[in-house]
Amino acid sequence: MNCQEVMELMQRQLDDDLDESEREVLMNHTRHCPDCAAMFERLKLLSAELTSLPKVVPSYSLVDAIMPQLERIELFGQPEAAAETPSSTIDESSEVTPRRVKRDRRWPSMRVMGGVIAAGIVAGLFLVTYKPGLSPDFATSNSAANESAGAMDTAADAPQELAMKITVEDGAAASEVGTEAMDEKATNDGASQMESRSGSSDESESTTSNSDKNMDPEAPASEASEGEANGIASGGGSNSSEGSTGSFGDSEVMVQKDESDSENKAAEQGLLSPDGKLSAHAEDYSIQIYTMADQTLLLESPRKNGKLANLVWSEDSSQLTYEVHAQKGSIETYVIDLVSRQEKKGAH
Amino acid sequence: MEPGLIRAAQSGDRDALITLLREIETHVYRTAYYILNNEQDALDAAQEALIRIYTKIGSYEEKAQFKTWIQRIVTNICIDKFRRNKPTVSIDEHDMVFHEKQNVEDEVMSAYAVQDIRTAIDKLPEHHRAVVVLRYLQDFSYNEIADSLDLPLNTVKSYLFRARQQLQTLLHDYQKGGVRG
Repeated sequence: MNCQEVMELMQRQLDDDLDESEREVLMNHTRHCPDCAAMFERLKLLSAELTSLPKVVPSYSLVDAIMPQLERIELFGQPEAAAETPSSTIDESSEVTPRRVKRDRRWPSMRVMGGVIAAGIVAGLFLVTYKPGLSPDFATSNSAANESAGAMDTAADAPQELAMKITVEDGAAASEVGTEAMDEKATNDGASQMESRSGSSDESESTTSNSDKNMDPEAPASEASEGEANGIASGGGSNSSEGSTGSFGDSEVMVQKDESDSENKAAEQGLLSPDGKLSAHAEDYSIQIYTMADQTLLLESPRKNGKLANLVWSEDSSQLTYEVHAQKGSIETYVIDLVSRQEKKGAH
Repeated sequence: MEPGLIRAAQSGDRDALITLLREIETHVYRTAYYILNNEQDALDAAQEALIRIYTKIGSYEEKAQFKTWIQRIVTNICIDKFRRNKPTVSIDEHDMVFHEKQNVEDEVMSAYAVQDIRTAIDKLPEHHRAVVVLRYLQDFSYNEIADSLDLPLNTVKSYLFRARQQLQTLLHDYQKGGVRG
């Protein structure tokens, strides 16, 4: 038996896969071959080290962290593609109708969701590529919507920018806000503009059924639900109940709502940075930081599993330190670095 | 993981499903942590895996072991992420042939630092890495690894053996004062 063949025996021995006679062969060989004996020692040591690698555990309860998402899935089902494409994870209508449509089964709605998302993507593309003023229809509905919204000058793609900006921040909640903005827009447009599109049954069917829910007059009541998404979700909600169909109008309403929302937050209970430029807020389970200049959400921390307390700015306003008080009584310190926009677990 | 709980979860008992997820979250996270070699990515991937398990519990069939089913889900997510994150180095670029001329006078090494091992694991191609993680962090047998990764048994063995040989070579280099990754 040559050394190469013995190598396989060594390897299998590490996994306890040799029978008595094979083990005998291995031992006989290593007794006479110092190279193989040394190699076998090294492999055994490696295997022991691998076995004793730290049994790491997550720093917070993952199930608690995903609970809000699971509840949404429970209400509305989960699209197949959700895991791969964040922009389709959450549909806004589950925000708008909290706990009203309690479904017994999760699965059938997946087809419907797929349709909505497909419609949404089409409508989204339509939006992005559409230039204001190209179509008289559009111009009209645009200005009408603008009037009702009371603001005139934001470009049509503002919500996209907004959504992108928010999505970049890596907190789950943040990206939900972004995707809700997209989906909301998409769903409304899907309802108003795509009805006449041919649509292989699935698409048009599901669009309609979902828009029914979105157009529900009770929709604005969602303002009281689900903290993080308020600005955008309710913006869409009230918009649809006004019956405005202009897609650019949607944008206006959403941007405006969002801004006023963050303004309120900044005014309410924010902790101002020493240089006066930023304001930090403990929202639900994450920290949000707004710029004072234009009241936009600069960043949002990942969700934490506990109560957030003791927010402290560093003197140069480059870092925000805060504590997470878990239910178990443990306290963890986190530091957000405003320069790198990274969050680190602080020393205890 | 008791079969009763799994069955209850499958039949639509949401509390059972949540309980089940709580029982497996550490296992899911641990695999993600060692495949991705990064806490934040591991947290993300593990959450994604748990959500997928939640939505797909209905498609689990009892002929497969539950633990291999969940590991299949989490390793798939990790390998996807891993591919998106970095270009892989083929294991063939390393000299994987057994070096008979290796300097046997070298002292057989003392304990490798954990960090060295993690750095070395990080250099393995994705499937080799997944095999090592399932073998050592989940204590899976060859067959269980094969089920989890949907690979033939012989492939699992060859990946595991080559991975160990490569790890051994890398760590041996570190020990000789080689560059630490």
